[in-house]
Amino acid sequence: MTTELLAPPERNYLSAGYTARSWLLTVDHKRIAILYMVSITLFFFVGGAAAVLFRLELMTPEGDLVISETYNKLFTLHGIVMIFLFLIPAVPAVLGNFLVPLMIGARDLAFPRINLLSWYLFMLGGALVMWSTFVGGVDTGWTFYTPYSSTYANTNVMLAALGAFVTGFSSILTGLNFIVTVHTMRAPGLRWFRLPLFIWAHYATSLIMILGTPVVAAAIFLVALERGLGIGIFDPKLGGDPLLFQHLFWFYSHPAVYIMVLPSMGVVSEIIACFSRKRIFGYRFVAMSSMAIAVIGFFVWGHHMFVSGQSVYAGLVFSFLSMLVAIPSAIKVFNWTATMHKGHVWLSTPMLYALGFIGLFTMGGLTGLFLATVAVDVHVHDTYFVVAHFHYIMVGGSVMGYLGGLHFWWPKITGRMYPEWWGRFSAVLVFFGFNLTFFPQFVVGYLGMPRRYHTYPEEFQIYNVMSTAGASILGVAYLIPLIYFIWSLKYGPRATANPWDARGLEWEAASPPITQNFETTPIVTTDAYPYAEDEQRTEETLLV
Amino acid sequence: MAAHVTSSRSCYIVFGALLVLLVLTVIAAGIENHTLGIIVALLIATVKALLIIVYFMNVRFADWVTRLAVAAGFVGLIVLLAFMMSDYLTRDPVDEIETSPVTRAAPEAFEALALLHPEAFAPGISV
Amino acid sequence: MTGHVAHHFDDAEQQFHAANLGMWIFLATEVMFFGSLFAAYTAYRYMFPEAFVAGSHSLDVVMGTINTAVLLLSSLFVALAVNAAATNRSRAAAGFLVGAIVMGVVFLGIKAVEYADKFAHNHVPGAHFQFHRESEGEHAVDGEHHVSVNESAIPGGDFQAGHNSPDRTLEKRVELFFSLYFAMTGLHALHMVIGVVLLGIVAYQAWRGAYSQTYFTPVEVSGLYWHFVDIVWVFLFPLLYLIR
Ligand SMILES: [Cu+2]
Repeated sequence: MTTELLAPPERNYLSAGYTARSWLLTVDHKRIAILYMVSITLFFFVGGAAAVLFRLELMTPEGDLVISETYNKLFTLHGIVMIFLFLIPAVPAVLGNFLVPLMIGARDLAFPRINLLSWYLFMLGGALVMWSTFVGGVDTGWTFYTPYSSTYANTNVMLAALGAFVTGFSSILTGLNFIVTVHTMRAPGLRWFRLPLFIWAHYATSLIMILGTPVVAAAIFLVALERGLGIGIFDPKLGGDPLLFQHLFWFYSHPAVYIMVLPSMGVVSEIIACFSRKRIFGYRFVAMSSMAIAVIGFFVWGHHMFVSGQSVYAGLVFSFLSMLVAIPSAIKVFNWTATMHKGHVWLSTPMLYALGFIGLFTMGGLTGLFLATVAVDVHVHDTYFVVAHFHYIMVGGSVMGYLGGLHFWWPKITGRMYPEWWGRFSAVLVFFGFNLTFFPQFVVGYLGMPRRYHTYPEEFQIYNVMSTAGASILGVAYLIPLIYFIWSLKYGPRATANPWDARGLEWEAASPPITQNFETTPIVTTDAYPYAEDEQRTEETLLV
Repeated sequence: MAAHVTSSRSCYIVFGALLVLLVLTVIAAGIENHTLGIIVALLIATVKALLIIVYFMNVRFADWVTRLAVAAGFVGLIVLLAFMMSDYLTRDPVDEIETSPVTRAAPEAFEALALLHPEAFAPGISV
Repeated sequence: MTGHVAHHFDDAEQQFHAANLGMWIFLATEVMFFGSLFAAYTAYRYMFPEAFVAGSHSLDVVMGTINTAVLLLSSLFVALAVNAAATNRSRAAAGFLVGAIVMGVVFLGIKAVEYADKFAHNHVPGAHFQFHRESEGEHAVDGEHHVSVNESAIPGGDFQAGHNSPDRTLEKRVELFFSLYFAMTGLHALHMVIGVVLLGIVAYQAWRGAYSQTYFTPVEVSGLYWHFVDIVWVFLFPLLYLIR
């Protein structure tokens, strides 16, 4: 292993070209991952800015900062941008793009040009959403519910919906690329049950991308026909059923939660194995639980429609099936915990994020069981309880996984180390700020504060002030990594090929890797995570 | 490379079969029973689709991965149809156990609101 | 023709396999995309069986049947083109592909005539939509004016029925049928147009002799797409034109 190699390879993927053209027309999966990284970071701060504004508004019970229409547009912008332009592509399109070929010993994804096309589609969708914002905004909420979106809303629904539609195709192409790549381009000897769990997670995610996304695309297509051409598919005046839109929408949008969280679970598996110096406990169960989550995820969408007029019988079936998701999720949590048991746990920055993921995801998952219970959901539906729940899953889960993975593979991606002390500090700060923001929302939601209103009774103020204070801390905690990551590009110490002494083919490539990834195609002879044989290695031997 | 493709002879035979099935489905449209009619029509369409998939699209020479990909879309569609229709097919009895009257009256209330306050629904109002 | 193997693949076999699998996965997403429209169709046909019968009767079965045959013939041409390309007859493949393209254009032409007819009869959903049961259908439905609708299945569904005559209600429901008709056939036609362009490019390459036993991936893959569009129509035809 080339651990002593401190200088980066002369011709790595970053030095392959410095012109704008060499970036914008690249077909190298690693460069496309960087393009995605820059774009989603920008969108993240756009969505975050909207959140800052409405969190400020919610400091006081009266509507004093913005009027209700503006408030509606702010939370809609926050939802659309964060979901379609940040969370969905975050881990798969950045870390997945970069790592899937590296981890399976391939030179690129199966369709490099389609990969580039998917980035352009993503940017086109993002541009449409931004455009819709600049010309006045959208107020339907990210869910585009009919008949409001199709008939009554007089904001720029078409532009934003078209944006979501186009980014959907970007995500389909990413999923298609991953599936074909994993099937056809694994290195010799890399059998299915030798694949890193990151790959299993991305394979499962890709299944949702290709089977779920077209359904929401069709739903948006029908809304566009109705709004643009006066063709009435969901129009109650013709006897159309607005709930049909919700069926099609949630058929995708429930599994979409797993598009956001499954890849992060893959990241967490890699991090925990590395920083516990142990093979993942129950590898096959963790791999199969990813597949199970992806499959069961398609059978549960009706839990979003318990109180919207869906048949009670269908509601009961959906309720029961929703509970089933807890089983594979729990398998993962227990197996990660068991992996750490008696391991040489090192609380590095990525590990702190992974531990944060486990805690927050568990909270989010357990409160999900409340919501999957019809009787409880009737009480807390459309309250802040729901808002808190899905932020625990999507921010506590997905974003923690993304940040953890970014720190873990930062040396591989850039060839530089980030400052470890600042990393740990911001990881702890994120965890603290997150909980201060969202835990009070469970309480205030349970007490009955509905979501999506910009005014509220005075007795709820204390919870909202806590929430806003937490959001301020969270905002700072997200800015710190942004600053030190950029700092590290120039001043960070050079990274070795394998600074964490981790296992996996990506660590056998140089840091940063050459354009072709490997000098020679690697041959795999062991299962994933062969950490056990060198247990004597401890924290001291690792480069800090 | 494995150049396994359907022979021209088989192509013509399959085309013939497809035409026969087309005639059959038009004739079967004479069935007066709504339910039986739709079942027959869908059965014939499925057979036609299978002929095209297996012969024209060369799936009979394909490996298991490709076959899985072929099946995936249809399995997903069946899930969508089955679970969505489980809602529509069981909505009737909901009446008897009295679901929320608010939900059922929502469109009506909305229309009434629009009559009372047309300005709130007029295009062009903005922030 | 080793020049056809892209740098990141090991050999032509792997490349062919990847392209083929990629197209099949794309078609799986297409199944779900069209499938969503079929799902909408299923829900509404269950709710409003009579409106669907009435709407269907105003469609031209003869045109629909001819169009189905035309599309099946185009699929035959594509299958023969793949066969020709795989047996080193690139020029013959080009010929078959042109045949398929011509059939595709014929299909779109007939479709255009049907659409024009819908515009002429105000059967296009929107402000000008009109539908009169007596004058439209050769078959008036059971002579009765009662419209059996699973009203309770629609939240607020009885609200319109309360203010309107049964005929007016039926007209609304038929408008819904035509909304689906245009959404589904329109989307299908859009796919046909893309397919015609795709086959055109491949036909040109085939005519230049680009394909052989060792390399005919583009013919195979674009053929898969074309067959898929054909399969969608195979289902659309009975579901839209042949309802009793
Ligand atoms: Cu859900």
